[in-house]
Amino acid sequence: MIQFHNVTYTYNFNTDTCKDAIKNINLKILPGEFLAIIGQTGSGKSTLVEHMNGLKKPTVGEVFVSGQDIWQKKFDITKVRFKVGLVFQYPEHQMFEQDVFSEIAFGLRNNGIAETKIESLIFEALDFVGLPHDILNSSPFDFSGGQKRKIAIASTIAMQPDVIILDEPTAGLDPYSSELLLKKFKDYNKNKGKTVILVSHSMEEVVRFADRVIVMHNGEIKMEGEPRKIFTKVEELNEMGLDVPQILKVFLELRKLGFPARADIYTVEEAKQEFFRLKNLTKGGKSFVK
Amino acid sequence: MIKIENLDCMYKTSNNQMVQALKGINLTINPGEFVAIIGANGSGKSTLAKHMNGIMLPKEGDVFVFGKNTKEEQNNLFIKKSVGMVFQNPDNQFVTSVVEEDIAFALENLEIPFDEMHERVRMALECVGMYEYKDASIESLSGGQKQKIAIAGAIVMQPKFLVFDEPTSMLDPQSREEICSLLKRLNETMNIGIIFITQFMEEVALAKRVIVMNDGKIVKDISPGCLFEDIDFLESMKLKAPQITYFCLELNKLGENINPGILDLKECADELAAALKGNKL
Ligand SMILES: Nc1ncnc2c1ncn2[C@@H]1O[C@H](COP(=O)(O)OP(=O)(O)OP(=O)(O)O)[C@@H](O)[C@H]1O
Ligand SMILES: Nc1ncnc2c1ncn2[C@@H]1O[C@H](COP(=O)(O)OP(=O)(O)OP(=O)(O)O)[C@@H](O)[C@H]1O
Ligand SMILES: [Mg+2]
Ligand SMILES: [Mg+2]
Repeated sequence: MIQFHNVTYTYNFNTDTCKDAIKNINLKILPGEFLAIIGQTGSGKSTLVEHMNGLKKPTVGEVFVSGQDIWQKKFDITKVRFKVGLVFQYPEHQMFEQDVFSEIAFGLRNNGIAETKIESLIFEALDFVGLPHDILNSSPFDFSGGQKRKIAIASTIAMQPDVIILDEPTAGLDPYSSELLLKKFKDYNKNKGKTVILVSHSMEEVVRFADRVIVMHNGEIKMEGEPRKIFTKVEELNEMGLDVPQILKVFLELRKLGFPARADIYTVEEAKQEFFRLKNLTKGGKSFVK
Repeated sequence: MIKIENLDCMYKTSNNQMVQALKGINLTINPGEFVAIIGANGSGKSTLAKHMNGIMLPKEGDVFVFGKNTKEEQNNLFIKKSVGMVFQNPDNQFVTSVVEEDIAFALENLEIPFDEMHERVRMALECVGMYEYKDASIESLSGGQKQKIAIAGAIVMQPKFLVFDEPTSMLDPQSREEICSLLKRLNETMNIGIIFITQFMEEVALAKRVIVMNDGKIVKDISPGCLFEDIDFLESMKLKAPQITYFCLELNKLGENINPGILDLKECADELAAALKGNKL
């Protein structure tokens, strides 16, 4: 479990360019949860998640992981890094080794995994992200943007962390890879009971995969709850620079045209059912259009 | 005009293997066109884009910008002035550490008077909604804010062509829409040719022409409307159609008279409304 207690983080503290990127955050993340974090560009999402594995230290407040205050003097912060894995927003920011093998092995070796086990864990990680096994000798920088992202994800998932944080993991992935990876993470969450934290700009992704979503705005948590409930607050979301899934917008348009369409349609299947429900209503002789 | 002839591209990796990223590309893009390039990860989109303004030079084949070969060194400045580019990773694009300086940097080579330079930088930053960050250090920006600055740095040049390599991949939905309408405006009012790489299939609808890449080759060159009608082809390319296209296709299969080529939400709602009223021809 991860818990934030009145956390504020100030960049460039005590200088004239100081800026509170997150403000007085209180948050509880339960084990086994699939949590999504959404919010406008610059709203503080990355800053928030970088507190969860001790990459950033709160300017004010405390962060607890499994009940432990991770910045308590006697506590060894590196322990948290093995428990809570973070995939960076820009994969290049976490890659530094000569070849893909060493890149993925790095965390495993640091965690004291026996050399004999490392290879099979690496193969598993490559399978997870859908990369071929023959890339291990190549430099991680000799790849396309999407391929680099997959390598970065592989090096974090190889550690099988209890909590995995994904900062916009599908940015730059092709639709097939995005779908495949999110399904794998859902499976990691459901069948292995691991916690997944997903920072995303895709409202479709959030509705389909997350149990709970928190909405960041100007460094604060402005809403939280079940995605299907949050997305009914269209106007509030729009005010915060956010949006609702595309298919829902079509049905909201239909409502404007006078049809009594439901305002919680998120998938193609739901849309189909709603269309035929409306059709049956109109068949009955009702006319909704003024 | 950008004209690419028989272009091949090999990367030599750091462990001395050869990877063929482009295979026999032939492509002509006319001034004022709006072209989307889509394709699976590793299909060669960024490599192709980097050949359009001389960041990469062909070993096999040729690239001409308004008739000038990118390989010839004396054409260098002309090509940089004619074709601007936004990189997939904005970090690779910044040359200075302060936002305003970075945007102005590109203009300094163009011998533009100081006042005009200032004005253009301001406009470019306002276009992406980042003027208030003009004195910020680039390092202090969030992921999406960096993308916006990279876009400003390219449009400030007002070149004949702009190549955007996934410029919206980390933007929130509203910023994405703003950037999309910015691109449309640049295209329609200033007649700037736009080459737009994206993984957001909804954004492909902005373009008049779509190029699909697979394994280093161009495998399709068509209009967005036609592209999305062939879902099987798209999926075989590791791509997909927008959510509403799937919906319209499903209704179509079930005997409803709905045009599956619709990509606009309002049009889609009108089409559904007409079908519900039963008064569609
Ligand atoms: N190193 C830094 N120094 C100063 N300010 C920073 C720094 N990093 C981020 N900020 C500022 O803190 C705020 C929050 O940034 P953060 O990266 O957490 O946003 P985000 O929600 O992840 O945005 P995005 O969706 O664009 O990635 C932004 O306004 C940003 O400009
Ligand atoms: N610096 C490099 N060294 C070696 N091979 C490379 C390099 N950059 C790209 N490649 C390879 O060239 C091919 C095309 O890469 P490119 O970056 O053009 O793809 P892309 O279509 O832009 O992919 P993405 O959607 O992931 O950005 C890929 O197989 C990739 O592995
Ligand atoms: Mg971020
Ligand atoms: Mg690319």
